[in-house]
Amino acid sequence: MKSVTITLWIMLITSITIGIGYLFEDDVIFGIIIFIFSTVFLLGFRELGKPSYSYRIAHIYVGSILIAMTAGYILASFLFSLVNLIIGEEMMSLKISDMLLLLLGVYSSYNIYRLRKTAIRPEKKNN
Amino acid sequence: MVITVGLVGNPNVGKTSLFNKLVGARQYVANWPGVTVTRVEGATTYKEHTLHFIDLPGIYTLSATSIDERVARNFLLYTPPNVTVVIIDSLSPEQGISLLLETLELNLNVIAVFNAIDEAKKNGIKIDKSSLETHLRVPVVLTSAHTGEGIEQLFETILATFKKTNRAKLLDYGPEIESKVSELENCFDDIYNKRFLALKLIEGDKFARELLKKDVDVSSILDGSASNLAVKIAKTRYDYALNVLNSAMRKNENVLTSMEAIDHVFTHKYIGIPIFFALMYLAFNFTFKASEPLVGLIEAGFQKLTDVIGSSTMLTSLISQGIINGVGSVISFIPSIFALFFALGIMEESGYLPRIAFLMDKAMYSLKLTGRSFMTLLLGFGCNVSSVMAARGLSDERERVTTILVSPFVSCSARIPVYLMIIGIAFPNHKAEAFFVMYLLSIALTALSARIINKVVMKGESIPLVMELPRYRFPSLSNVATYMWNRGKHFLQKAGTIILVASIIVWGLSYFPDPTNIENSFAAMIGKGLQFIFAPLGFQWQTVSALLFGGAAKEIIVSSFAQFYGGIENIVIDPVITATLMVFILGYIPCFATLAAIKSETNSLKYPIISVVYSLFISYVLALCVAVVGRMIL
Amino acid sequence: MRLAEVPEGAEVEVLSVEESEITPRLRAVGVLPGVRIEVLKSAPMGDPKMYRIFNKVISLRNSEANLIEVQVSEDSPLPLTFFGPGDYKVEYIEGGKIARMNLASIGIVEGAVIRLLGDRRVQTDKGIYDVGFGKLSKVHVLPMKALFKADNAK
Repeated sequence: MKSVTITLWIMLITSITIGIGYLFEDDVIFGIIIFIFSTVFLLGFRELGKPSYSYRIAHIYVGSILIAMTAGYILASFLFSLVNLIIGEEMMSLKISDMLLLLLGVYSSYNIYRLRKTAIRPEKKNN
Repeated sequence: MVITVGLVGNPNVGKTSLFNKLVGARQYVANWPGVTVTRVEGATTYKEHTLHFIDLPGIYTLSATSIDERVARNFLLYTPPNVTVVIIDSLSPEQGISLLLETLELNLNVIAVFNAIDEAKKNGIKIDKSSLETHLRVPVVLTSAHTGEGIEQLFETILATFKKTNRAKLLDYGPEIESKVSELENCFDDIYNKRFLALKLIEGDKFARELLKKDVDVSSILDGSASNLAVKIAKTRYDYALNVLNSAMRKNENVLTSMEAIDHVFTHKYIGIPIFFALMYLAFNFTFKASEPLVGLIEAGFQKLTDVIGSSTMLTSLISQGIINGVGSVISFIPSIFALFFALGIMEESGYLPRIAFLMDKAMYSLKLTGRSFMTLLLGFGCNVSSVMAARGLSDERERVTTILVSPFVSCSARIPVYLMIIGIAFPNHKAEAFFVMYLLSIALTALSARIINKVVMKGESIPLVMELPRYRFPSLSNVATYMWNRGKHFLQKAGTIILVASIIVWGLSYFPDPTNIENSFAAMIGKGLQFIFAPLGFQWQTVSALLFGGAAKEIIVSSFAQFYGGIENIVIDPVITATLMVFILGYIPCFATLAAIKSETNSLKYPIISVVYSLFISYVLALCVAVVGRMIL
Repeated sequence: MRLAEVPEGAEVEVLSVEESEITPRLRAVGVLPGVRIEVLKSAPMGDPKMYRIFNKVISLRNSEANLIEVQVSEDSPLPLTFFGPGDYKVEYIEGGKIARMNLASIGIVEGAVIRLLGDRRVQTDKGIYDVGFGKLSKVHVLPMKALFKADNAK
């Protein structure tokens, strides 16, 4: 239970920070997207009182998937941009927000891995 | 020996994954004759036999409640395969077993496959195979398309079953129904499977009625109790299925809560739709922006090639301006198209796509469509071709046709350079607003067309939803890759040839007869000739010629304008005509690639022609309105 | 009642299905008299809804679900707003942390036995309270007499 709360806080605070970072870098839309994903973690707090285990971790699980996908997108964009070097154009420069996002992406992947083990375990239905 | 094997099963049981595992990459995708239903076949060899697999559409019943079901049923009824494999999802077997029992009524040579047993094991479900075989009276194979378990055994079982001649005993529906069946059997010719048709007749299947012997009146036999009997027949099957499962499967407590929990977030009352839009933004950006460098690389390469060859003589001009330009523009599409289908493949494989349909269904209802076509149409904002091709995945034929016909009105990315150019000329200070209006108009036109087509083509019926939401699963990269490759290859073959040919024609029309002055070219002549039609709209001949070329591909409009006016700086058009032009360009004709896609997806010439005529007509009318209203305001 | 009217979380049993274009499809997917359906979730605007039929999750529009006549299963909890005065056991409370805390402070928690009075007020072990319709609809309960029956049956 405690680890759920801690993870929610970590994901929430970090993702909001990254979102703000993007706003400062004038990438408003991307910032909004990160904020949307932060809301997933925020709403996760609502579930804490409930007896059902899986609903609580669902927010972490799904939120982490979303963050991991976004980080993957940045990574893919960066890698593809390396091709630009061949034609003499510039490659994409990774800003601080991007790098923070990639880091969070790694942590998210870890969350996903960890939770998959427990989520697969069958749970008694609420009676 | 060639053995034909038909794969039957509910949607979402992993039929396609299993099919991929059985035949590998050697698949051939086509359409069932006369309809837009996808037909997938493949072949492989096993122990000196050639196994020819046909992947039938996913169905819930052999009663034809939809065109997909009719196609599958007709195939099994008229051209039964040597062996029929009914694929059942181990985690949700009830509906699958009911379908299995129906196929047994067709007297087919059946094997029951229980798929996803790796997931079943993980969830603590124990399956007693011999018990299943005893009760279902057909060979049973437990497989996992994901891990490959049981595939070898499936091959073996297919070979063994091929030689079987006796069929499983039929289900007894009770004296009341069985007596009616005997009576009705006499109403059918001997060449048909009479018992099957008799049962279907009682179940209310209209198709069975068509096969009755001439002048036979069954209303006395069927009378008013028919629908009760239909329910009883279905209930008998399900009760039998439940009994079988009771003795052969042991489950733990309800284990689907993990899917429910995930759905709690993805279909959340507040955050569900924002998440969807966020993911769409990422998917589109991935498709177009991320792949930009690759596109740039390809374009640069082709540019170099054109420079080297030059365009001094007719031949070199043909090669560099016509052929290479044409080929180049197709090939530069490749990264985007493949990225698009990659993203789409992931959404489909993971199970997210039906959630999108679930979220958006209410909004689509007013268009007389379902949430399933929302995603399909959304793709059109990238490229109309992908939207037309994605319509293949819709399960209702009427929805498929409507979506395909409506796709061209979605404002694809190829139109953006054109808008940019035109807006730059006439509304340089209101770029964002003008763009916004265009997209709104596009959506409005799409919605309007959906209603119109629905009224005309489908007589106003709305399409039911009744959609299954499958389990979430981690997308298998090999499946996504197969999906991406199949679709991408399809696009290149269809669109590619058309665009190439169109490029050459465009080149020809502007080169001849006078390569030095475009004002004397055939294109210009055609433009001047047709100008009178467009006079009410206020278009000059240069515009008309450019629009002509735009039929090949919308991007060409920009370069055509440049050619005909001798440079974009020279173009002066007043705001009203500009607005008229933009509205006209929005939907005047689907580009050739889209038309080619429409033809190949609908399997007929009728629909592309309808598309062209309707588009021209409505765009003209709309543009005229804008022209008239514009004049009145200004 | 019609399936479309059944709230999230409830389990019902199918009584009959009206004849229509899509009835054969509904039958094929398992909507038959006597079959249990669980109402899972509704889309953001209340339409369509997800239902579990046997082990498949099928989404149906309200217009489609309206064809299906059902009765609520005895052991399926319903929001208190569906019931008349009587004694009930609280099975499940919808809503976020704050809503749950508010209800807990007046004695409405999972597992508690509460009484719905004739004037629509609620009596808990903490006293008698006026609970608004919205909050009340989040409290899913089982009638005590149903539990009584089940216990006697054992």
